[in-house]
Amino acid sequence: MNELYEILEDIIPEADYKTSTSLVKDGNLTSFELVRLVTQINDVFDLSIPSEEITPENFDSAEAMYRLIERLEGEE
Amino acid sequence: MLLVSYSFAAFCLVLFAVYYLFSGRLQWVVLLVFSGLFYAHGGVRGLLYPLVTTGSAWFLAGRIGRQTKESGRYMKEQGFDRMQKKAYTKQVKKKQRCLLTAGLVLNFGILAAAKYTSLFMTLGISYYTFQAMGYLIDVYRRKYEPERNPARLALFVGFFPQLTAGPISRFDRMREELFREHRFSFSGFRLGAERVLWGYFKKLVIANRIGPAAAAITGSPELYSGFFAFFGMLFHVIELYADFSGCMDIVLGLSQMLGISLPENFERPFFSKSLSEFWRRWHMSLMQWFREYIFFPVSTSHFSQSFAKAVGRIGGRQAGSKAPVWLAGLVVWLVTGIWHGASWRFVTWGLANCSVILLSQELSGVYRGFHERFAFSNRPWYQYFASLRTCLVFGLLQMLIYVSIPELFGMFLGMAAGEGLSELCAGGLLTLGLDLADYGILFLGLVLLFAVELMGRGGSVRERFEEKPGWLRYLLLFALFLLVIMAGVYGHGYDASRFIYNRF
Repeated sequence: MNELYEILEDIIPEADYKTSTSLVKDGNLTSFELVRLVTQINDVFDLSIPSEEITPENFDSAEAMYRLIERLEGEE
Repeated sequence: MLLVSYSFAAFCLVLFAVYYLFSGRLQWVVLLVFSGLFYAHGGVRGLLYPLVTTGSAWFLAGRIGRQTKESGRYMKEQGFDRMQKKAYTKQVKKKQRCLLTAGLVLNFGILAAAKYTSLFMTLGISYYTFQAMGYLIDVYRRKYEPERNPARLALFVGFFPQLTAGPISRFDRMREELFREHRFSFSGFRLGAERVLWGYFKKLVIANRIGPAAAAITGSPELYSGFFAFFGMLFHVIELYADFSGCMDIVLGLSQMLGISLPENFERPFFSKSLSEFWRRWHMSLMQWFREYIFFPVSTSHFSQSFAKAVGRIGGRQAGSKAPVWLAGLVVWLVTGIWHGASWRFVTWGLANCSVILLSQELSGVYRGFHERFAFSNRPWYQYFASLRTCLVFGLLQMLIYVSIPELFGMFLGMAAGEGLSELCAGGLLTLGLDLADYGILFLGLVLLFAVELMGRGGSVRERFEEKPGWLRYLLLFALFLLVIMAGVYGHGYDASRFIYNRF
């Protein structure tokens, strides 16, 4: 989780990414930030997040992102 | 059939009567028949292309769906372990990708032939092609199961109000709307009719009135520079917004009268603080389609991610993570430009929008520092200034559709030299096909439009309007109706009933 927090701090330092559950809905994560986030997650966790997984449900909170990472790691 | 015509009004009256008479499970069939009639009004041949699109999407999505089910069953029967499942799924996905590609090539090929050659043109081809291909991609992505009944899919693809200029809907949301029972509700019908009236006000009173003046300047940029160029830009932006958003009000209002809710296409874009925010609030359904089906797939593609790694090795992690954004942004805006028209002007317009958005993105740290350092940037007047600045940038970029970049600079540098000022003071605006009364009506119409948009910032204007006493509401609606009848422009030497986005 700390690695994910580091990425989020890099991309959306001004947002309350540790507790917020509406990062996409509130506009903290726009398409640009989402792609940057996905690229960094792919790089750090050695994953390949498919485009259809870029949904508000998967990226509205740090916990949801972490669940996605764990699920994709399980599928790898 | 055009939305501003007596035949369309008669068509709607008959539809409402039959639709609510058949209240029940067959209502969608009534909509399908009337959508077919709407299409066939322009010639039965016009039905051929949407039928090909519907048929191919239905057939290919069905095949993809069957393969998904059969492969799941097969893996279960064989008792595959995780690695075997992964390998088999990859094999199936490869076959499905071939089917998807065939569908995309066929349908976007037809769209390209219709748009960029003079072979044929058919109503709403962009909108129904995007909808049908979105459906096919979603089935490929296993977002939902394919629709078994081709007639039901045909209604989703060809639901007639959407054929004029969108919005572009998604199947999973629309099937909930189209195929359920819709009992007649007076309040829903009235609310829909109110929105249709508001749409006609925007189209007939504002867009059609200002259209000739905008066309006079943007059509002959060599004759107009300096202050005239500024007015040309202003008139063009007003016409575009009033025309397109007015059309959407008519389409969404009409659907509401049928008990069907369509996605919104505008969210007061002129109150945006940046160009990227503007494009999130203008033609929203198209931009969401591009984001979901082009921007995200391109940015997460193997090529983009390898490109990110290569850039990251040279410029660091930050630069690496931005590389897919630049690449996908470029592709999306190139497609957006080409979709609007097959000319270098539209390509330049798309790439200019892309450059401004990406540059603003790169400068976001500077903006943040500015807002932290200068407290006035949080004041309301500064927010209005930021919105005005966005409108100006949007307007300037729109002018690239009519002139080249050096010509644009020339036109606006002329303004600094006071070019056209004396002609304007001598009544130059009255030579553009509008008289003083037209400008008076336009001014009042724009004040009304701006006031309603401004009120929208505090929540739904329609909900607040509903809270007013009944007599006041009906009085205001009657006044609006009279305004549309008396001040609406039904022909000024051009086809007043066409919508700008109709041609896309």
